[in-house]
Amino acid sequence: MSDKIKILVGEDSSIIINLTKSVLAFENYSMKAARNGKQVLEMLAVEDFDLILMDITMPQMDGIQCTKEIRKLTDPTKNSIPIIAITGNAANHTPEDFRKFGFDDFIQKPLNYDLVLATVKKILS
Amino acid sequence: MKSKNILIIEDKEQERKLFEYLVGQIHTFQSFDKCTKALDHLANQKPNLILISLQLTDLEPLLFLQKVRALVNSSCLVVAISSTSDQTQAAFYKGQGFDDLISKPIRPKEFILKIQSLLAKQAEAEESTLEKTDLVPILNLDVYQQLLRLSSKAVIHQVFSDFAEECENLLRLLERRQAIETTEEITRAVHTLKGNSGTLGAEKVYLASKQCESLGRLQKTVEFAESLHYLKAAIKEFQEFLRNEQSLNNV
Repeated sequence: MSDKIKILVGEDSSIIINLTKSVLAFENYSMKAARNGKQVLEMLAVEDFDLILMDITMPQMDGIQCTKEIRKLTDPTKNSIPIIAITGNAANHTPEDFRKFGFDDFIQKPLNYDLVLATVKKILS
Repeated sequence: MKSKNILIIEDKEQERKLFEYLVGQIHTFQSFDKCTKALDHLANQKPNLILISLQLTDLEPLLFLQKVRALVNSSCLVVAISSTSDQTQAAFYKGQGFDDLISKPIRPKEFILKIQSLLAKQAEAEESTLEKTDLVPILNLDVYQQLLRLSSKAVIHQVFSDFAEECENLLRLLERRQAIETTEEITRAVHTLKGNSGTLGAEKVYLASKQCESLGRLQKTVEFAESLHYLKAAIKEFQEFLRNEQSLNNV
């Protein structure tokens, strides 16, 4: 269990959380979910993860703000964690915008889980 | 072509009578001598086409057009009647959002042909939209098969059941609130529904919610309220599909 790759998903939709958890478990990843950006920061403070899948639109603190906060952290194992943005309105931002916000990559909603898995594998490799 | 409803706004009585006579041969109409009276009428009636004289003095034509677009949906045609045949003026008003411009003096045959041609194009556009919606599947089978390949059937069915509940919650929200007053709240809920429906392959719900969200964000309140009816219909169709227990098992 302990050697499984740990993924933190920041997402406010329980439907996407449950589906993603199931798909990632099928590929032998371990996953935990946070409902907003603040929860992502709280969970990251007490636990180590290998990758974050971060929805852009979330209540309290959105994915962009949360990613900026993570990149400002002093702990190098936390501030360098790979983060993949999940966006429902890709037209609002360019790929260059996502890089500037601190994301390593981005995926568009509706989610295509083959693409999600391929992106996760690419970022982790 | 079925009889349509036309709104005529012209302050010169003789010319108004001419429009009433020509339009009235084929369509029903209401006519007014002032923009302000016509706007009051539009609060309750939605015509297919509006004819408005650019010489009216109680409201700027562009301001009138703006108010019309806020009151009735964008498929309502607005045609300006000009006292000149200046092509630059015609191009200017079309560029500002009028659907066409007819110049005086009015030639009855040309006038009727123009109105009929505009209404025919409008009907064709509406039909084509309906046909496109009908071609969209309730469930995108490729997406569903992909989910089954990457997860267990039990989880997928549970997720679909949760999604049906989310749809039900949105329908309750729509019934509880006046859409126009709560555009922002509903747009947020529709945004979530859009992401979930698309991910699950609920194609009709996805397309309807995508359109709703876009109109909500643009604050096109009239079109937004109308798009909610399509969304409700798409949701009900999807719920009906799921209620048939065999639907997902048969895929």
